[in-house]
Amino acid sequence: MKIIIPKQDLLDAVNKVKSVVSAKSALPILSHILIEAEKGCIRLFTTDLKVSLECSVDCEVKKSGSLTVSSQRLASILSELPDADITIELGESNVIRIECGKIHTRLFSMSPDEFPPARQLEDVEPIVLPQKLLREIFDKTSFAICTDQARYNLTGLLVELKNGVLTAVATDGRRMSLYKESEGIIDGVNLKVIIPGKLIQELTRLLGDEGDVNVYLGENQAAFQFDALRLTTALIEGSFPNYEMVVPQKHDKQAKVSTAKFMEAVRRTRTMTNEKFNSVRFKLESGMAKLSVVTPEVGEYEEEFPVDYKGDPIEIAFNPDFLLDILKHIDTETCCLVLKDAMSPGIVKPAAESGVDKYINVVMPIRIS
Amino acid sequence: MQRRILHIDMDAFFASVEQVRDPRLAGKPLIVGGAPEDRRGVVSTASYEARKYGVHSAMSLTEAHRLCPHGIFIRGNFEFYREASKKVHAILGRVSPLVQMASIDEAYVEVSGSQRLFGGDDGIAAFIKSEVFRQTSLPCTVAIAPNKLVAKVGSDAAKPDGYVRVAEGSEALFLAPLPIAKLPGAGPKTCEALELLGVRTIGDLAALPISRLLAAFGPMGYALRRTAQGVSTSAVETEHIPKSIGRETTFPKDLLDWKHIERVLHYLAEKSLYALREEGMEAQRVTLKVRYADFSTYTFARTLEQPTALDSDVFAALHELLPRGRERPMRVRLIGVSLSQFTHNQHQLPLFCGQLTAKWERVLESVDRVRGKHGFECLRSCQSMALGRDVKLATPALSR
Repeated sequence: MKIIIPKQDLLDAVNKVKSVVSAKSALPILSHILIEAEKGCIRLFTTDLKVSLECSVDCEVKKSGSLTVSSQRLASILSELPDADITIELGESNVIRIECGKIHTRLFSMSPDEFPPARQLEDVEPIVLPQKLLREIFDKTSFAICTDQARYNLTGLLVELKNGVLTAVATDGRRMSLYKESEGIIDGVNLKVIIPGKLIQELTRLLGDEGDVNVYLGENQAAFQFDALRLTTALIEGSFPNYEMVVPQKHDKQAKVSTAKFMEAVRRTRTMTNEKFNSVRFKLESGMAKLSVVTPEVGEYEEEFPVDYKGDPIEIAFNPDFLLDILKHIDTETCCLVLKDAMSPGIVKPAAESGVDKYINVVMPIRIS
Repeated sequence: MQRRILHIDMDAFFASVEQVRDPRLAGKPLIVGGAPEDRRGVVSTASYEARKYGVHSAMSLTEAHRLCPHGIFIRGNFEFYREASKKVHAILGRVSPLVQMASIDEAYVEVSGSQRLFGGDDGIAAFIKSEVFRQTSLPCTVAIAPNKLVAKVGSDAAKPDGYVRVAEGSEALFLAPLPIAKLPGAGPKTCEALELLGVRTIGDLAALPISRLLAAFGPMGYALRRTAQGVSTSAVETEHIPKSIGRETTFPKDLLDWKHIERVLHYLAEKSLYALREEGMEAQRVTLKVRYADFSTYTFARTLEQPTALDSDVFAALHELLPRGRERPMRVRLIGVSLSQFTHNQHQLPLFCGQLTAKWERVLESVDRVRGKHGFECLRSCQSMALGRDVKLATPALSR
């Protein structure tokens, strides 16, 4: 194999795919990138066996073929090379030559045959969605994905298509973020899959503002294709809890508050918590909200701010990190808090003018005595 | 307003409680910590009569028996001591709202604001001593000083059944004649080093030029000198959060029977959890302690995802840790469990399946209420019930 390619083109492609590579894998080949050259184009592959990334770049292919190269090594060499065309050639015994003007590099490598074969997705029709929409949905929900591998079925994002509505749900068992979208979703496809958090993370990073994504959702795997990229993953097999059941329906205490003011107050309050005592008390009275923290051996904090509320007084406690995660992702000026009592879940959502909630967050309180 | 801090220390607490419960023991050399056949434990408390023979706390029972062969050895019962401690706590609460129980048998009380009500230091001390004796028949020693440090040293010096008052400005004078070993924070190593500098009494230390102290102890020298001069600003902490709660026991004979060991562990865990819930706490870390026949001691710990006060969560963690304890093919001398990383009022409720946890919480709440009335032993898990109704452990861990 022999190719000639502008350095920056290759570096950009490497940077897109290298994030899935783990430096300390039990399988040494997984720290490598597979590069295949054919008909004026190269394709770069990386995988951690669960999530696979693929990126194609146009370039001059002198001789087709394939090679593997350590992703970390290649990225660091490329980033130090001058901005010019480079030649990459596979020689005898898996030795790779990288040449750039008067710079000659020889890299030892592994046989492309060792690289795990690419995942073959069964024949499914793609669902076409705008990149921007998909990124927004993932961004607004993925922070609630569980990171504890012991609760494997929660370590991904639930994506459900039903009656022309796409629903994305993430939860770690203590809070839940839910986004519903019906615009531009074709009716007729009904499915429910759990996409691993790692892939969602990669997608949020790679998705842009323009263009569409082809989403292939199969029985036990999924692929996302956009621009010159293709991401594939095994789906999480397991049952996702019944999310509809935990969305409170009969909460009667609703307050409207400035998102920015609320977020600033929670941020300030959080400076008084510590690892062991990480809760903020939230008191609602007519027209007024009070945030307070009492942390043993640290101190106390109290802040009041105006809210649009007319119901009975209520006091409830939340993990401030959960509130901040949510408030960061609400982009309306005013947000809405819906509560029932100190032991029942609270809802935090953008104040929707239409009365239809596209995006809601359910947070369980911290019990106070 | 002058700052006045009271320190109260119950005299030979466990032994005195036993002597009140059984008047036949009064005036006799009594050693609490283990029955005569439990030669492997340590002394928890010795009555003053036994102390005459050189018996003291933390001494091995064998040694105590050698020094005082005619002594009366008993295992003791933590429940009675806690009961008495609670009574004392309540009396102190009548003197001032600022009470810090430093342990089961001693406490600090901020009495600066109670002077007028009780007629000064002497009135406060007299009230406490007489009220404690009236309600519990137990002797105690009280010291009132301008700070916690001097009050603590004072009560130690005035024991037993004593009272001492150190006036503002005479802290250093009071401490000066006392031997250096009486100074809080001066352990055997420090004392040894100080003796090399010619220091015998606390007064000697206070008079030592700071340059010599700094040369010998580094920055610690400043702290030593301040302490020797009776200077301390630490406040009475009413909201003290214990660092850990645990129970352990030494077996009468080294054991290989892990079935039995496990049952005992369950019992100890249940006791710890009961104490944890009484404090209104939840713990996030569970530690298993195993001492083998060769005295090597290992601890195995697990941090839980969520803090808990539920027996089932801690049992589950212990069951994960037990195989590691079993790895050493050796007999077991001591087993123990300890709960740590406490929080309170921080229970994060779950979104899903919260009902089961809530149910267990309600069950344990009822269990604890029954235990509060009829004692801990009356309601226990099947595992620990297999040990029999009244569990007699060789060396019950009497301290928290």
